[in-house]
Amino acid sequence: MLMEQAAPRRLAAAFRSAPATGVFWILVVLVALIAAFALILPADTFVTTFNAQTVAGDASTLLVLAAGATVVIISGGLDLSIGSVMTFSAVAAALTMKSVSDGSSDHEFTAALVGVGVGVGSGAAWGAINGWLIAYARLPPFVVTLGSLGAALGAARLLSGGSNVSGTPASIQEEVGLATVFGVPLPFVVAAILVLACGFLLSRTRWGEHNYLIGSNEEAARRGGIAISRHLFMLYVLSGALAGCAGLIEVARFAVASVSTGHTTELIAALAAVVIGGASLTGGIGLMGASVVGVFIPVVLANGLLIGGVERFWQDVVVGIILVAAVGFDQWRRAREVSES
Amino acid sequence: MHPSSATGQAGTGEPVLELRDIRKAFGRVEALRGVSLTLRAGEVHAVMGDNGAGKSTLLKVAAGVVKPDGGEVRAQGAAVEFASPLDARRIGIETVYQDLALADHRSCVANVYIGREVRRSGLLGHLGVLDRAAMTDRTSQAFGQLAVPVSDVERPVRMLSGGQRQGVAIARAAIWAKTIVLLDEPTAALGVRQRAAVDELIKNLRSRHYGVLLISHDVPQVLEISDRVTVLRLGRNAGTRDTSDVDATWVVTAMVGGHS
Repeated sequence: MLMEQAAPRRLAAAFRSAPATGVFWILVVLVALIAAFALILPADTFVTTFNAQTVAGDASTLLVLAAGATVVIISGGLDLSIGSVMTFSAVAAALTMKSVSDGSSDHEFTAALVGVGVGVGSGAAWGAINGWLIAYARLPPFVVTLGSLGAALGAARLLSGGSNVSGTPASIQEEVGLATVFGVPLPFVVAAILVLACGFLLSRTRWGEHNYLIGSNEEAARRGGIAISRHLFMLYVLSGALAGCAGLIEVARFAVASVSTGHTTELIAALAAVVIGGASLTGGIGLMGASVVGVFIPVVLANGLLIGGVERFWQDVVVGIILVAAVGFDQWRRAREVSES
Repeated sequence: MHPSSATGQAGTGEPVLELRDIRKAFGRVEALRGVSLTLRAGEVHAVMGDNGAGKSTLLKVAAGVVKPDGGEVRAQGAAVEFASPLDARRIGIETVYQDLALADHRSCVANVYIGREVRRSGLLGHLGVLDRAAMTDRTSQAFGQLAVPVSDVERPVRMLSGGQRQGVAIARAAIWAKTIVLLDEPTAALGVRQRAAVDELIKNLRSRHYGVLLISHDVPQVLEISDRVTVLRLGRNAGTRDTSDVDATWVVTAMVGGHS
C-alpha cells in the first residue's frame, strides 16, 4: 500500500520539479524546434524514417565530441583541439587502412582493425600531450589546446600532403558507416554506447565524482587527497581518444578523411551543445544527458534548414543565438534559485 | 548544554596532542619561539593572540602543513613527524581552515566524502562505482548526531547559509578525525544566530570526546565555549588557564603583554 501511494507521489514531485532543471527547458526548445519543422516543412520530408536516420547519423560524431567536452568542461578545463585531433586521427586511420589493405579485399578486416587502433591511439596520444602540459607543466588548458589545435591540424595536413584522404576499403563504408541495426545507423549506435559509457563514468564512479569536485573547487579536492594531476592527465587522454573515435566515425561514414576545415564547425557545435546543456565553463556543473539534448539542437536545426532550402549558414546564426540565450536563461534561473533558498 | 555537563571537570581527559617547545622561523621572522600546549580529549582548548602572535602557525604545525624547526609534536603519547597534511589526517587529526575547502556545486555528502568516497562491494566497486546510498545514510546519521543544522544532506553546499557551510566543514572534520579537530577562526565570518549554531556544534564535539583546538580572535566566544585558553604573544606562551578562572580582562591583558 505504502509503495503504491509513494510511486505516483514521487512521479508528481518529479514533474513539479522538472521545470526547475536546466535540461527540461533545453528539451522544450528541442521539441519545439522539431514540432515547428514538422509543421512548416512539406509532408514526407522532415518526419520520415529516412530523415530520422540522417539526423542520427549526422549527430554521431558530434555526440562523441560533446561527450568528451562535457567531462572536460565539468572539470573546469577546456579542450579546443578536439576538431583538429579528430582530423588527424581520421587522416592517420585512413592512411593506415589504405596501406594495410593495399587495394585488395583480402585484408580489409585487418585494415579496419589496425585503422581503429591507429585512430583511437593517435587521438589518445594528442590527448596525452595536452594532458601532460596541463596536468604536470601546469599550463592553462586554453593555451595548451589552442596550441595543439594548430599543431594537430598542421600535422594532419603534412601527413596527407594537404589533400583529403580517400580510397579506404569500400567495405568499411558499406558494412559499418552506412549499416543500420534495427533501422538505427551503426555509427549512431557506436556513438550512443560511447556517450552512455562516459555518462556512467561521470555520474556513477569515483573518477566522475572527482571530476566534478576538481571543477567545483580544486583546492578542496587537493586537500581531500585527490591526485589532481593524474586525474587531469587521464581526462585529456580520454578527450583525445574520443576525438579519435569521432574521426573514425567520419572515415567510416564518408570513406574520406577531410583536412579542409579541421572540423572547427564540429568543435564549436560540440562546445555549444555542452554549454546549451547547462554545463558551466567555470567547472563543477554539467550533465551528460543535457549535453546530448544540446547536441541535437544544432543537428536538427541544420537538417530542417537544409530541407527547407534555407542557406546553411543560418544554422550558425541561430545556434549562436540559442547558445547565448540558454546561458543567459540559466544564469537568471540559478540566481533566482539561490536567492529563494 | 552546559560546558561541564558532558565530561565533568574541564581538561581532565587524557592528552591527545602535545606540542612541546615548538619553534618556527620564516626567514628572519620568528613566528614561534618555543610554544608548548597540551590538548586533552573532551576539551575545547582555545588559542588566542593578536595578529602575528603565532596562533595560525601553531595550528599549521599541528595540522602537518608547516614543519617546525625545533620542538616535538606528540599524538596519543607518541612522537610524530608530519611530511604532509595527509600524514596528520592519517593519524586522525582533521583541520577546518577559514576557507572551509568546500566544493560549492556538490552535495553535503560529496563534500563529506571528498577523496574518501565509498565504493560498492564486488565487481562494480572494482570498476569504481560509488555507493551513494551508503554515503548519504552515514552523512545523515552523523549530521543528526552532531546536530549539524542541515536537514537535506543532498543539497548542494552553495545553497546553504554561512553557518550551515561551517557546520558541514566541521562535521566533515569530526567524522574523519579520530580524536583531534583543529578549527581556524570558525565563526569569524558569521552573524550572531549562525555563530550560536556553530558554537553548539563545537560543544557537541567536546561531549563526544574530541580534543578541539580552537583558534579564535573572539574573546566572548572563547569565554563561553572553551574549557582552557592558551594566550600567545610574539611567538611565546603568555599563559594557559582554565577558562572558568579568567575573564575578558585577563585574556586581553595577556594578549598585549600586561602580565609579565
